[in-house]
Amino acid sequence: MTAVLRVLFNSDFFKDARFSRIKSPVEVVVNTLRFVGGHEFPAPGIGNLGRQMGYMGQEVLNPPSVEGWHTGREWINSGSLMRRINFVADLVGDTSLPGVQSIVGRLQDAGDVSTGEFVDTCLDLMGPLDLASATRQELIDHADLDGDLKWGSDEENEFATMRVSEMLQLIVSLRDYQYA
Amino acid sequence: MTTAQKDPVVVVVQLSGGNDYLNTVIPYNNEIYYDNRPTVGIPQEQVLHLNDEIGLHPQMGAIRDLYNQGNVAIVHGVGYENSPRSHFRSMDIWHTCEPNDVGTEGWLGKVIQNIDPNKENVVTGVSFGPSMFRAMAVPGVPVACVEDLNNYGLMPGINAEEQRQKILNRFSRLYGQAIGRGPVMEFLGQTGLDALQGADILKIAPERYSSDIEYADTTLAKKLKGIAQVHMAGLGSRVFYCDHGSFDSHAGQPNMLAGLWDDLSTAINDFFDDLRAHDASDNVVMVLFSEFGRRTHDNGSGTDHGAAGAVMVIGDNVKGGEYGEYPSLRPEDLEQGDVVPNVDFRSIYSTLVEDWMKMDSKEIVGGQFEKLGFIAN
Repeated sequence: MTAVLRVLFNSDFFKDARFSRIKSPVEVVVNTLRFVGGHEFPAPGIGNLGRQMGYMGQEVLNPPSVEGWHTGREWINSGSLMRRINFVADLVGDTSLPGVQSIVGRLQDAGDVSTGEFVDTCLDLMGPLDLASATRQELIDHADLDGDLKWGSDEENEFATMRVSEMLQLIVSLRDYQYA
Repeated sequence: MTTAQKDPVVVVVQLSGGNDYLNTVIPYNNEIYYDNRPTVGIPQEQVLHLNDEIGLHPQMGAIRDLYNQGNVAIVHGVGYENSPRSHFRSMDIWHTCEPNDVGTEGWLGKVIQNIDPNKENVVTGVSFGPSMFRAMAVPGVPVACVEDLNNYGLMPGINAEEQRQKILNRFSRLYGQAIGRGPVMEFLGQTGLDALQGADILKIAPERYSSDIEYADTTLAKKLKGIAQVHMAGLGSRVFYCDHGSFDSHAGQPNMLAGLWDDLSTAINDFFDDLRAHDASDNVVMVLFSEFGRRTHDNGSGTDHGAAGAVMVIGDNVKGGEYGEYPSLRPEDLEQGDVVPNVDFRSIYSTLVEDWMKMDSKEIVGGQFEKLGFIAN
């Protein structure tokens, strides 16, 4: 069994399967809630969170037919894509949530960093996400608007926290983030 | 392609959950109706009589007035063969016109595609509600899906407008990139740009809107007000969709149905008053449908899933009156205890698509179906 699994996990087929299919709404919601934390059951508003998957096109335990849901690109339309992005961006933009605080804390612990390091650290902590170089460069260009990420005074920390939150929101709005 | 040119517009209101046909369009002179409805039957004196045979639910006063003005067509006995009596399957059938297979493309999505094959206007179709309805969905066809017109768009949770705009500008660059990662990635990119563009266009609608009509404070009224705002903003939107419900009245039906129809009737009245006050009603046709009717006999508190239902078509250019025949309530004529459909729902779609939207219906509804004459022009 060990040998079989070693071959399987080292195969190109297995590695290439990452980030090659669109996440289902259940994956979007559950992954995000696990990532940001702070929504352990029972918690206020948990019922509304449960409905989000239905708004994105997957009403849990109520598939449209015995065939189940139509998956892949059929999860996506202009309405559902907006729902997915807004749902995740709202949560990762909330710096009071423990998962987001943890990322802010890790970046703060790393001290002042260049915009490239800032983007790469965020991508690493969010996935890791493997982006096309043009996409990564866009994120760096965005970070460049405010220069290197600097920590120190209360004012600098507040601004840096806001920049981290903004970068996380931009990352979760990427097309790449819709894949699992 | 703007409403200023008075292109035909269709507004679909989906009555989700299975509206009770027999207590909506009531055969109040038929003893069998009262025999079958000992608990939820509407007493004769409360029915809003349309003629000697049928009348409307007591809370449908505004719709009765529109009917008396000749602006409401009631199509009787609508459905399809072998009703599955399942909300999901039945709604899918109504949305995709595929009674035998599981379809993926919605009939209104095809209408939108037909109106705007080159996707020049991403708000040709606008759906009001938290999620998009399959009736509007065709891969690659943009549809704006609006929950709250005043707060619509990407990342509305970012309160600082400057910060939000900065992110959206970057979003636009990121989604516009051709990064060569296959057709699904390209599709995602286009869908994201469509959503962004749709939000930009639609934010104009509330700004342009001014009206003396005060809509009720109900979920449906807000949706219809949103539709009126977008329609009157002249953005070229031609297909609108929203839902109302739930009409799934297994228990406690009398109060439930009264509340639902009160909200619906009032909101429709305000909607058409609003359009008329702005000279914007003559190119609008509204359609009310539900995925099925309910069983003939009540269950002691409500009614369970049935088959045939009624469809209503409302508008200045609608030839009012009754279409089709009220299905027989005689026990020997029922199927599994339900009134039997005698008008295929695709006949209604065909009439709307051909006689109102002025396009060929065969590809859209999946065949040729007898048209009904409820469109006036």
